[in-house]
Amino acid sequence: MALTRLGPNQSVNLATNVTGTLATGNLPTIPVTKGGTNLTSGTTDQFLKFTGTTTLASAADNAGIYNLVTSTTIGSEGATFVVDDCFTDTYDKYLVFMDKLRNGNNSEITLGLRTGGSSGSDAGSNMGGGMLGYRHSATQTNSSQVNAPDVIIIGSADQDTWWHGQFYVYYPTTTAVETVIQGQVTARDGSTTYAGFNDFGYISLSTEDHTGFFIKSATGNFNTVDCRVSVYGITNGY
Amino acid sequence: MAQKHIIHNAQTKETISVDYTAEEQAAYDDYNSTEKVTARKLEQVKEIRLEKLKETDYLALDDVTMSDAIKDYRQGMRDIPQNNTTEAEYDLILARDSDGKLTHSIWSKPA
Repeated sequence: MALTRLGPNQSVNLATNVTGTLATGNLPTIPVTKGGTNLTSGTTDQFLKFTGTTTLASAADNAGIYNLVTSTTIGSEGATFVVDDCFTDTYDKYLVFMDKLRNGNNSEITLGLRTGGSSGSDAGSNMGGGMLGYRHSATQTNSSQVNAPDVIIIGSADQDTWWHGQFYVYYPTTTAVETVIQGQVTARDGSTTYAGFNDFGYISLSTEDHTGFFIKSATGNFNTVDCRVSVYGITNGY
Repeated sequence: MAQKHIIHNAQTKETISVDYTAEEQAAYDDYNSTEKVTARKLEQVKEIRLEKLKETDYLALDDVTMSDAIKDYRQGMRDIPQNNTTEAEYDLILARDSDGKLTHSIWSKPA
């Protein structure tokens, strides 16, 4: 940084009398009270937060509750859509979205849990609970099961019709606590004239460490590569 | 043709396709056999029949006289399993119009 020669009583014009670059070592740290951060370093992927009325510090983003674990399309046609190694001890509650699912035949759709992490296999026949829904024209859909390997979430999803839904999974990997699946789907059920929703709740009466799940079409395939499943781990607010 | 699992690993983000095991394929084929499909359709027919019979149960009370037409209507529904045994026949009995109403004459309640 340099200053041009100034005449007697001449004031510095910052636009014309100053050139060069001030060495960074000579730059001051600007305090919060003057609009700065008063910080000399930061941490990747962290945000700033106030730690006092005039002090800032970097901190992890704690604003999010839903943390994406994985999101995938089925990629190719298949009768069973499996997601392994998505449930870990990091979270004890998960939310799973099933969007743009579609099957090529009128088909019962079931949901089951998996164990074994990345080398997963279907969990034992330990699921029990029920599904209850309401559809046009003013009819009820229902199912109940016990000691089942997989459980019904749609009695007869209409062929070539998109359906969507979501379910929560409680404590999948905590073997001391029974795993619960609770969710809802909306679909055309049985034919194009039947449309409605199903609520479902199932509990696994076992002490298995559930690390994944599967969605199965009992008849025919999920027939579009766009079928998407997204898994979110939920941060506890306590 | 064997059915397939489409398996996604959440950690590696890899997705692979794996054929059903012989045991899984056998279970799939059994579930979708003509015999099992027909049996499930008959169960649907029976569920509908039960609801229809309930609608006219009050006509069987002592202080009410059930008409012969209603008797025939109820008996016709009771005879469905004896008179219809194939999947195609059950498809006709379960057929609905665009409003979701059953179209087979066997469900038509006499006036």
